[in-house]
This record gives sequence, C-alpha cells and structure tokens, in this order.
Amino acid sequence: MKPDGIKKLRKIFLSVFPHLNDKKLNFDMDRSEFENWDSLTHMQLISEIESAFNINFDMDEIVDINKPSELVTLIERKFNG
Amino acid sequence: MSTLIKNNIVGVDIIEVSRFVQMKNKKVFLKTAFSQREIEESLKKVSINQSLAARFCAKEAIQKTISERLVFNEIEITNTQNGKPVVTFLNPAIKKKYDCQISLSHTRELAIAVCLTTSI
Repeated sequence: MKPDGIKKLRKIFLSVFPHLNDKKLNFDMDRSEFENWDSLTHMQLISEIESAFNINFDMDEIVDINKPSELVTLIERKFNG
Repeated sequence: MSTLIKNNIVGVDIIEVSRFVQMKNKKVFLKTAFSQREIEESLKKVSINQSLAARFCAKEAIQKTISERLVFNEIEITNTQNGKPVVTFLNPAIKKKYDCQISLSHTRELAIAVCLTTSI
C-alpha cells in the first residue's frame, strides 16, 4: 500500500481507538493488544475504512481480521482485483 | 432434558450508551449495523443514543444464540404499539430457522439485551 494509504489507515485506527498512542500503533499488533477492540469497534473500523477508501467488504472477508496488517492486505486486494 | 430446553438458547449483551454518542452522524456505520427502518425510527426518538445502543446490544445477544454469522443490518428490531421489542430476520434462510424473543432495557449509561432463541 502507498504511504498515503497507510497514513489514512493509521488515522482511522487512531480515531476509532482514541486511547491509542500514535507511536505505539504497530500494524502487526494483534487484536487482543488493542484496548476494547470488540464487535462495535470492529464494525466502526470497517465502516470508516469503507468510507475513506470507497470500497465495500463482504462479511466473510472481515469477520476474521485480527490485526491491522491483515486490513492492509485486504484493502490492497480490493484495489488490485 | 426436555425438547423444549434442548431447542432454546439464551444470549445476553451489555454496552455503554456513550459509545453511540457520535454514531448518528456516521452514515456508513449506521447502514452497516442497522436496517433502514431501524435508523429512521431511532433518529426520530429523543433518546437516539439509547435506542441505537439497545438495538445493537440486542443484535449481539441474538448473535450469541445463533451459529451462523449474522449480517447486522439484516436483523431488524422494532417495537409493537405497546412497546414490546420484536425481532425480524430479513434474511429468509435465517428467518425460517430461528425464532427470537428479546427483552431490552437501558439507563442513561448502559443498554442491556437478553435473547431467547428457539430453533424452529
């Protein structure tokens, strides 16, 4: 993913997880390392990404997302077909 | 164990109402989590945040009783004229398999939902 896409995704994570420190956000962090990454925040995250990147995810694609890097892969797949 | 007990599963969920404070402005999120009818009905209410939180909570409670992964905007929580909450599955495949009875409650801070699901 291009740097501006990564920047956009970081911004989304920081807005959905307001207690998260920018310096501590690592795309290889596991879902369990985020405070309060529950079903509501997951849905917020996905809808913010869909809106920002102008893409749509299927339920099957998003249900097992466990870390930010997996979202990067998923977004890239959307753009590359 | 009786058949009645075997075919029934209970689910419960609780959530902070404050987490829905900004949600009425997040259209993509609303469309992902709620049906069009739910959005319209909730936005008409004085207690929008409580209404959205209780409905979301109900969907979580329902999900805990059903093995299939549910699409939240395909579960509709509405109220009868006397206020009783009713669950409608908009997905026909799910609708023909389950009957859900729910009970919702909220304070200013918290919303809670209990669901009793019967496999048909």
